[in-house]
Amino acid sequence: MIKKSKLKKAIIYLLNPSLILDNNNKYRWYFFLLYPAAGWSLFFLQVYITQHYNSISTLIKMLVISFVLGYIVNLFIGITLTWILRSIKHRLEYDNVISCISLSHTYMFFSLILGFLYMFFDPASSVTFGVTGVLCTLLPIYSGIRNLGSKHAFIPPLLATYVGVIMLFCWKLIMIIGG
Amino acid sequence: MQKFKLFLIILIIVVFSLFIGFEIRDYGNGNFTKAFLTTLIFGITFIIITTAYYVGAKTSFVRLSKGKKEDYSNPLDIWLLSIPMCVLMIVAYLILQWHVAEIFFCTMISLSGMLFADNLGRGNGKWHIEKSLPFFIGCVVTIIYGIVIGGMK
Repeated sequence: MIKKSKLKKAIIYLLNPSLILDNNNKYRWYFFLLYPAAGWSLFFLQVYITQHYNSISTLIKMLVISFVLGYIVNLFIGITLTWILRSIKHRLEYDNVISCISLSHTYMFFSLILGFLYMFFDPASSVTFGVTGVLCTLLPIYSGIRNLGSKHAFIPPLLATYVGVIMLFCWKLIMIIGG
Repeated sequence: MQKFKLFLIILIIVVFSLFIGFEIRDYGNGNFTKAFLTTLIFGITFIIITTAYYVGAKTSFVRLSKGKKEDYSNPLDIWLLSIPMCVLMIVAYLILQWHVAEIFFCTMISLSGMLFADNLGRGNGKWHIEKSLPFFIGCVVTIIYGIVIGGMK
């Protein structure tokens, strides 16, 4: 049985992933990356439902592509962000940054769950909740970089922009490939 | 540098107003001027109220939360969060053809309110309405704006 303290710690990290950047613990990043991959799949499940695709093969194709790309793209973002932050003299480990980016998707999960509930009122709202999810995902990343104490005020917003643009383009790519 | 940041933030609000105006004109039932002015007024009002409250609260009754946020106690630095929101809105609108500019605007308002509240110590120690007020103001402004602009779509 999971200890209560461990559960509490997990919830704290899920809600405030930027804490991961502040410590020197080792994280199993390859395991954490399953979280955003599942989040991306959930978003495309919502897109599938709202776009009224009727083929099961299209659904499976979309889910698999979004899961695989969700895993790869977040890994890529984590590696490049670490590299950029290291080049401006931040001592950071790849696994910390990748885990932080992965857990930042908690807010996307919240947004997508709300999106599923909202479908009863407006069936064409998947993009709205997906976009809100991406933007909310950027907040912990933005806060995490800010908390590192960078003297350059423009670095956190520019890096958050970089992450957001990659995510949006990859979503469009999945829609083109999967649709 | 501070003047440049202020100029940038106001420019971002104007860009948001323009895109939301275009969206309402091309894909909604309202007209450009109405949507443009609504967004501009909501944006500028929220910036003034939140910034004034934050400056007053920071110096009087609320201490900054622990951490290394001292460098970012300047409200203009917090408002720089609007840069990614604006760029992503333009990318989504022009390249991806997702015409949901008002979603980006609302999320920017809510998240900025949350950041201001975080810098006032929200989530640290005993709960006080003074610490969380920017967050609540952001939520209320977002809801009212959503209703107003939703009526034009």
